[in-house]
Amino acid sequence: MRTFIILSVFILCTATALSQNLLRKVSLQGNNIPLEEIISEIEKKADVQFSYSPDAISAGETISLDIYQKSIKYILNRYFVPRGISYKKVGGHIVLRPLGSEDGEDTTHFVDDKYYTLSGYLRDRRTGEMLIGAHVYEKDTYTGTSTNAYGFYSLTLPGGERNIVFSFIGYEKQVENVKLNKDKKLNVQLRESLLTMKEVEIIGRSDEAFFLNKQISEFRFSNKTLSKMPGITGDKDIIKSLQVVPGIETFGDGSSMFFVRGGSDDQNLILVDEVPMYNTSHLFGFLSVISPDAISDMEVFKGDFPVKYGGRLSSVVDLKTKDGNMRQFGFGGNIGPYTSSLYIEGPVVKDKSSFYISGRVSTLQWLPDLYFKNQDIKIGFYDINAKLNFKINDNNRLYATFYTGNDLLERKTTSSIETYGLGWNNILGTLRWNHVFSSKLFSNTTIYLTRYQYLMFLSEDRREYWKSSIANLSLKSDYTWYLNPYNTIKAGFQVSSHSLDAGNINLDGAASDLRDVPEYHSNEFTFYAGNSQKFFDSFILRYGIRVPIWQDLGPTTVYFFDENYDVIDTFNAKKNRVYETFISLEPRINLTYQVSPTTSFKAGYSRTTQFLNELNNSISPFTSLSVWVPSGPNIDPQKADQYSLGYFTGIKKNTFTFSAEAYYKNFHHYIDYAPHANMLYNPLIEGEIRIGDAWSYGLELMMRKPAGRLTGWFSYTFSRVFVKTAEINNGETYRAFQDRPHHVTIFGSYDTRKKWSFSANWLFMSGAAISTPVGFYDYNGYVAPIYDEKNNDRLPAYHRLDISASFRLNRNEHKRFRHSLSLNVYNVYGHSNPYFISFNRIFDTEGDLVIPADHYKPGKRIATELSVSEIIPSINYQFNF
Amino acid sequence: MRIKYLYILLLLLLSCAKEADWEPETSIDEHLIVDGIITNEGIIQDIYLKYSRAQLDEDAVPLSNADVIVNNEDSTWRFIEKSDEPGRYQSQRKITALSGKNYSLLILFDGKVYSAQSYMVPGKAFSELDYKKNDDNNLYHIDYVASAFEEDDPAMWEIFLDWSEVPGYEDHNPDDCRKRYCFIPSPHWM
Repeated sequence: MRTFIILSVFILCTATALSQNLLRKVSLQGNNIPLEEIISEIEKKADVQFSYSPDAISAGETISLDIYQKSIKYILNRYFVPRGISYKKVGGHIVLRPLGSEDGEDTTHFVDDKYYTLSGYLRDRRTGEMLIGAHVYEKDTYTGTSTNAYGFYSLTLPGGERNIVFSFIGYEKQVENVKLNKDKKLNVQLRESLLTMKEVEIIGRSDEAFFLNKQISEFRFSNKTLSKMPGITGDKDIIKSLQVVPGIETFGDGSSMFFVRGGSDDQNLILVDEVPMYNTSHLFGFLSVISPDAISDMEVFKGDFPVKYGGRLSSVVDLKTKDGNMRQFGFGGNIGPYTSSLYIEGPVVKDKSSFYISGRVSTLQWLPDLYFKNQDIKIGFYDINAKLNFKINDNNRLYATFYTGNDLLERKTTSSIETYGLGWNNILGTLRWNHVFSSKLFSNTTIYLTRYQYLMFLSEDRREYWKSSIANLSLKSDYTWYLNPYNTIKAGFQVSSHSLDAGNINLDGAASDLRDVPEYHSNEFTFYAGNSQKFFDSFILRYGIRVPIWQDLGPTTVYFFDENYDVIDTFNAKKNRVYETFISLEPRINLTYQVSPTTSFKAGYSRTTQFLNELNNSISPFTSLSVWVPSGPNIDPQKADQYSLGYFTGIKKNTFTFSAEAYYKNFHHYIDYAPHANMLYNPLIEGEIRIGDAWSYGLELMMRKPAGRLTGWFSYTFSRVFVKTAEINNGETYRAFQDRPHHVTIFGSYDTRKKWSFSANWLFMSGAAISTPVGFYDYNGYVAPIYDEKNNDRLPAYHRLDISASFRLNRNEHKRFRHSLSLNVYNVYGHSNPYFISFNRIFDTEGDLVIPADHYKPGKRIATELSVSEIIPSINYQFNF
Repeated sequence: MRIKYLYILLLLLLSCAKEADWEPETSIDEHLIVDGIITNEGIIQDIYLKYSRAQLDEDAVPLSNADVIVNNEDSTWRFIEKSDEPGRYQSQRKITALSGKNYSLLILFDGKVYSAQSYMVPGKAFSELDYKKNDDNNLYHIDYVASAFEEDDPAMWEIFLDWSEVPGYEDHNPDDCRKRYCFIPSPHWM
């Protein structure tokens, strides 16, 4: 019972002020019914929300009544007031209290028309870590906000004595009494709720889904939610977690590619502490490049990006790394068969400055050593993440983040032909400065550098290689102006300089003369401004505009093509000569209508533009060559218009939450490729591009149980994506590779609240669309395929079940040193999920599969499929202090 | 079910292929496939007439009783179907195609006429293959086959290697000591 009450009170708290009608009529009959039941009957029948403390109003008292079609107001006056219970309409709720406890407040409205601003930072009490997306609201009016990416909040309220609630998932709720007679600063530290204090945690979690500040098409993972997600090797994984989000289709196994609402893989912007990261995969995508330990918050936008985001068409994955403990030193890590990681954190100057350093290294060299004894095969990767933050004073904070990650795969043999090597690396550095101008104006200024390289080694000593790269240096400044309780204005600008190399050969560790493939230089200037405006109590309108300006500069060689894609002209742009400029206008608008505290409708429109394109015509992640090129004379900027509708509701007092979202999206200048396009060392690479239009639509349904011992969700997505390109498929519409109509995820996690916790994840996706032959013929001794429509066929449907069990080894969970063992099984029932089908193999006379290059050997011709994993078990040991 | 966590690696080495349970999703109408090359070798030349097929490992259905005629500006050759091999049509005389001439093919079957034209591309001089031994790894390398792609003068080379008589390979199955390679310089390549 206790849980129920706390929960229901809490839910009320999560909603903002709404008007509800005390005049709604209900009928009630019965003898000796507890007041509590009467209240819940009224809630059900009239769709209103009550807020009360059962002890204070003796809710167990029973009464008899027989009323027919009377207003709520009548019932309250007739039955409640005589029993010493007063009522008050506050926001969207009817608050019940003992008579005489109203603190002298006006029972209907606040008379004080003077407003003051309360602002400050929200942190973890133990570690000093900032809390992102935590809720801050006035207890009675439910006027609230959430903390921004730096843990900062600003809340403007009418003057007077106010109870301010601070709440965050996994933390104890804290209420602060504030006498607001001037603008005030209030920094709050929340205490993490321990495993035994589940009630609090449950309440904390149930508010995750519903808060008016939630944008449409947004999905958020806190560090705690992430830690429950299964990963392929037992270690948690950032990108793999995305495949449970409705509307996000992943490639399948062994790739970190993902496709959001029909968009292609390069249309996803992945930010690590505000810096774009161009390749997020380790080991061709079995793992993501950033250690999940280091992540404090992950926010995913599937469209309707807030105006501060841009540059990609389909999604933004905004990762924030941990700050490090400001109070005391700590360390932790993970030891597993495939990867092992370690982090240390601690104060540099107590309560002023802290650091967080984490490193991860692959530990799977035993695999090739065991199974390929006679071949010199090396696979490995590492990543390092380091962050330093410094609090100069209450108004100024500095953050520095550095990340580097590196992958290498090579096979050395005595024959140079069979020696190969591949490598890629990311390096990111950023310096950020948070400045609070006033309690209403927050700013963050970032300067960053990011570089990504992809290398293919041509010699054993790795001094000769093919390399493509993309790098940019950027300065940006973002401002949030908490103008008044009804308007929050965001504006900012960004200046970037991009350098790209579409893949050249380097000999002897230096750039060779063979630099025929274009290198590009571009500048980008972006301005944006937007407002989030509340009106009529229950509407929020967010609108804004983003204006990116793109310039391509020399030195480079630009090729111009005729209709047959033969070069007809060449232009050599001199250094710093601007040879192409694009300006785009990106309006964004979305409206939220809060029908009741637990139900809302949302609608949005947004336009996005993309100037950086990853050219990649391979559907297999293992043959992908990562080549980035900017928009220019041959490549129009890609643009997308997205229209979306959303409906969110809580069921049974938010025990379950249900959401439905629908979208329609139009892509202009969608990039596809000529048949047999050559992407490797091709100076005329831009001539391999075919530009068309694409459109996608879908419906995303999700039911979650956010609280309790058993948590989880069920989601179903129906989505389609089609492409029409004049020169492909005879100009007929065809489905895109990522067109996978059905997508089901079921995730459940059960916590025994003792030492064990369990989770399971089942995933189903329709197979990706591919082209397969519709017939075969003999030609000159070969069997040649006949292809008809593009993407006429599908890979078999993808499905798998993962389970994991975690066991806490500590006897005393309150001890600072905690360690646990986790056991994971990926693809439990061993379903083979092919990602590629080929038609050029034969079974030879010995029963081996061979590619029939050798025509002397006869055999049975068959189609073969490549699949990654059947069962992958792993055991990991985790510890932290 | 065998537990195969080494798949991570097998995959990287492209080894985890297995037979797919694949059925063609749609099938187009059968097409008549004309498969023939007329060369300057001065031999009996073949033209195969078969239908396309839906299945990868199916035998192609031959087209029998067609009239097949090849001519250049000066001569005409009639191809006759081999009685023991339906669908294979052979010239009655040895043909030495001449470079720089146009050749046309005419097929008459069931009241329909199929025709094609082709130009005999002058052959390219082929330098003898040169082997070099690499002392580091004791292997022989072919250093050079032909020059890079020339747009006005496209060409392809077919290389037959037979090392069944190389010392050390005498005891091997001769079939294992033969390979056929095609060298096709392509545009846009280094």
